[in-house]
Amino acid sequence: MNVMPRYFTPLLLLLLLAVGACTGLKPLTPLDAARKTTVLEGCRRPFLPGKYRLVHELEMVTPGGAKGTAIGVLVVDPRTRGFRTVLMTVEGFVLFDVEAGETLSLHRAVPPFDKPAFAEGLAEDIRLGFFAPGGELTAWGAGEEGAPACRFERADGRMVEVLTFRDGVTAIRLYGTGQDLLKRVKITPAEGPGQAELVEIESGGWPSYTLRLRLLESEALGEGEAKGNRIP
Amino acid sequence: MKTVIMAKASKCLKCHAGPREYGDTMPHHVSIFPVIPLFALILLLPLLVAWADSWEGLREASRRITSVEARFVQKKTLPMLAKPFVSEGRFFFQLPGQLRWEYDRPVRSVLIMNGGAVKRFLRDQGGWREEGGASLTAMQVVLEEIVNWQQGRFDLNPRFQASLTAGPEPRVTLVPKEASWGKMIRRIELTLSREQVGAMKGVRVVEDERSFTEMDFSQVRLNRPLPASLFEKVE
Repeated sequence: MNVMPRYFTPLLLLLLLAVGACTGLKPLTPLDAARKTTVLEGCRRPFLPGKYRLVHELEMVTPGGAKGTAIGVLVVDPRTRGFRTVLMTVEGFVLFDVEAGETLSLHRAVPPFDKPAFAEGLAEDIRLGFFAPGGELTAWGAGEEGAPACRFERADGRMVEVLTFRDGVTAIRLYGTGQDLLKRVKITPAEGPGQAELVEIESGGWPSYTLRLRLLESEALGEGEAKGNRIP
Repeated sequence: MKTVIMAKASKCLKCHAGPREYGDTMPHHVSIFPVIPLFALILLLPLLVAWADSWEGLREASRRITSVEARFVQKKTLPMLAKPFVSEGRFFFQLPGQLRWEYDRPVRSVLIMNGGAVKRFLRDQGGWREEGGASLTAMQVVLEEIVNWQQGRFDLNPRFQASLTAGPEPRVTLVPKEASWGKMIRRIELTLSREQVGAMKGVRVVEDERSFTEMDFSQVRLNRPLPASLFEKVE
């Protein structure tokens, strides 16, 4: 019976190493200093340049593989980093309505969307997928597949990494204070000009889930509408 | 005798002075045919005028409906939206309680109720897939309510207070009795067709004065046989 720990200890160490290798932050390959501005511009380009109204078909995949579809309406203002979003069924029944400014205000939440963790998680997803990362630039260079990459450290100690691949796809990763990978975002650009056609958000927390947002409508909002802190 | 006959003939021609050629060329007995639809119209007139003016009229008219098929345009209005979000699709109902609510655009979705069981299908790149989730449970309640409406049983649900407004556009208004429901839906307005007995023109679900869903029906066809597969299979 005492034999078991002897076999399990190296196995456990190996497993931990493997997990660490998959999720931890690897150092970036340095690039010519002259490229810094271009790389930084590239890291900010996938995000919304101003206030927008977006309508998405939203598909949510839960850990068991069950899928649920909703229509998501999102008004985002990158200047204030505020937004309001409504999730409704295809038939038009509003399931969830939240507004985020300095605080999070829940206007409507039909079960099971009435858990505070859902609103907080969704707010994090929206900020990660639609707003350029805030915080301080801590590193830049070449990351995975040689893609130009930038890393920003947020005030909460978490790290956001942005990688811009040659095919136009952008990957965003959120790491915890212990460099554990918390969320992944993949932004696929539209074929023509305009906002991203597909935004996929994978959350590794508990419960884990994947959100796929397929763009249905987008509208840049004028300066007049952008005035004030409150999003209509 | 001859004179009498002539007199009769002359009188008959006067009767049909309007479309003179009828009196001249057609046998006299044929002229009764235009009267038949007129007679039918007179018989149906109380129903046409009154079917949507009383609960009894609604139930009576609905008893004659065995199936409904229609196209619809759905407009979702929200304060966040500059213009309504528009969806289009088709609606099928078959007695006793089969229903298919199908969206063609912008998201392809089919909701089927058959024997009390509700299934939802979504179309994505991989084809049709069945979907579960909490919103489906909510939709089961909605679909059961629609089946009641289709059968003229507007006042069956104890959660809603139903009232009927007669007029050029007869309307049934359903207001939630419970405060918890009132938080979600302020009222539901069902506009009935004055022209088509037993048919609904539109539905308006009001969440608040700035948030509502409007559904306008067109190409409404009643009592046509519908294939059973419509309520069994997505495609």
